[in-house]
Amino acid sequence: MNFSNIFERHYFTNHFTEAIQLEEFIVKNTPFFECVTFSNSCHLVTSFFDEILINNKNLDLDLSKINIFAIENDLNIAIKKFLLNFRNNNTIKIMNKVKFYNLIGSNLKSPILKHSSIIIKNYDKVLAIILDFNKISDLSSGAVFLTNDKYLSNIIRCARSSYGRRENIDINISSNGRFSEFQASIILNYLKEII
Amino acid sequence: MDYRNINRYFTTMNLPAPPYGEFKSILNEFNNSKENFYQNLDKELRIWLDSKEIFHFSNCFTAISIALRSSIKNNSPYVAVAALGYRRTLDIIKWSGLQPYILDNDLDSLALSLKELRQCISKNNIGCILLQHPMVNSVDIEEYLEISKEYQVPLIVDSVEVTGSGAETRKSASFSAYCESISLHPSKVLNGAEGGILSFDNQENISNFKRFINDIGIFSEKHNYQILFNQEPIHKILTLASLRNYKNSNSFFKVLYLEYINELSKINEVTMIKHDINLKNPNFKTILIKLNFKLCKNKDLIIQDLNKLNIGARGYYSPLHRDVLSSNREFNNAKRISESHMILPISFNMNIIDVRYICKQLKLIIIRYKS
Repeated sequence: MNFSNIFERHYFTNHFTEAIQLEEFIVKNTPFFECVTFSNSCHLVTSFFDEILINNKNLDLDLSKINIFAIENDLNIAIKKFLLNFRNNNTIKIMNKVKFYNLIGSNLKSPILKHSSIIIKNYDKVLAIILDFNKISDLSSGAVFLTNDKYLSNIIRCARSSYGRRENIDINISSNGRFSEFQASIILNYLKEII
Repeated sequence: MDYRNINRYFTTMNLPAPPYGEFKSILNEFNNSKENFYQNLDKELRIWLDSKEIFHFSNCFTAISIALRSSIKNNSPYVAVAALGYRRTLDIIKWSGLQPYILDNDLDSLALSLKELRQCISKNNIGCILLQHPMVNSVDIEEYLEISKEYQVPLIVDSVEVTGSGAETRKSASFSAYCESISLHPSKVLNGAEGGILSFDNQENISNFKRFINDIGIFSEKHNYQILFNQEPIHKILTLASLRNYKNSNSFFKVLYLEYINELSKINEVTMIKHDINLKNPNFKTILIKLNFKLCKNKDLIIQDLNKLNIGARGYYSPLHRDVLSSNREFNNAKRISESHMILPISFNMNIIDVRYICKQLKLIIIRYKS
């Protein structure tokens, strides 16, 4: 892979050119209008619980329509274990209602295709998807939040960090899910190869 | 040269980055043998930090959060922290599920007030102390450690942007603090694009921390690797390239820093906060100045005027945290430091002519506000 563009721009992180291109590419190739990149799925899942499921009770969400995908089962187990230990009882109660999928046994080389086929069949029943790119490369992973609900995606953008916001929404527990240009470049390269 | 006709922006985001060629050669090292690469990275970082053990995280925000949760004592959710510090400090504490106990800063050291810390800790149940160094120079942590030991409250030191007193940099971890955090954000001393490390020196703390990250799912015992929040390998590659390039970037910043000393000495209303020459390896990458008392009320206007000239000056750790402003008490020292201190640009694309231009413009603006 060639990273010379990143060095030429001298801008290494905070949702810049490569990250925006990745978000646009994913939107183009899935039935979702909104895609938010995040440094990793555990940060993303934690922000999703903190800001959407716990702090925004007025949203009246159908938890059965929320899907969290990881390529490996171990990652899901670790994220659940982390939430159980790092957050309070409210999180634990809600966690049991959200679906965590793992794609073990599926084609690990093409998770986006696998996910897309699930989405295309059932996307009208899906409120939000958290997709982890773990194991696509030796160099990097990353995660994305997919939804057709603009408000939800704006909350996640604001919870991620102060950069890349489209609308200012007050966040109770702000995270640091900054996504680097290197992560974006690696994932984008991978997706372009398989799609 | 008339810079007003040139579309340039002078930034405080200094972004010390290794040359692309250097990055590529370390990427090759990684591709040839991942095992050797990881060994070299940790070995070189340990030498640089003079540290026994290093843990990598996706960013320093996460590293400090996990360190806070792992160290917290006395069944208390409170973290003692200075009112004026890194802008996301209170977010870090909240994300870790804890609560800040905000104390005033010290006017001389700019760090957490020792006097307030002692008073607070003797009267309240505090779980942990988070001490952040000021951007220029490291604060002497000996007295903080005394308080930490006396009251059995762990001390976590956030190096923020300083280097200085260790074998090659600093060695605050070795003073028996719980651990020290070092950010690898591009604007810091080492550019890893993203990343943060915790540096430990005490074997008991290392064992406790390992047990903690295993218990909460961050470390997978089954696979013997850190499954959550690990720094991405590509960011580790950039970190090592940046570390190996550290001396070059340091020399570059030193030239600009010395020119700033020279030029700012000609402006009576400004005092430059100098890097301590007694430190073994100051990094010269932050140009922090203090305005005299009469000019403080115009600090924001001075910054605005500089910004209009594409000179990206900014306040020192300002504005104060939202929670600080909304609290019931006054933090007079933090307020005074915030009102009087500001940062001038220093970055990879500047030269000494730029420094002269920036200082000249600053002088002209100050003359306007003086009258």
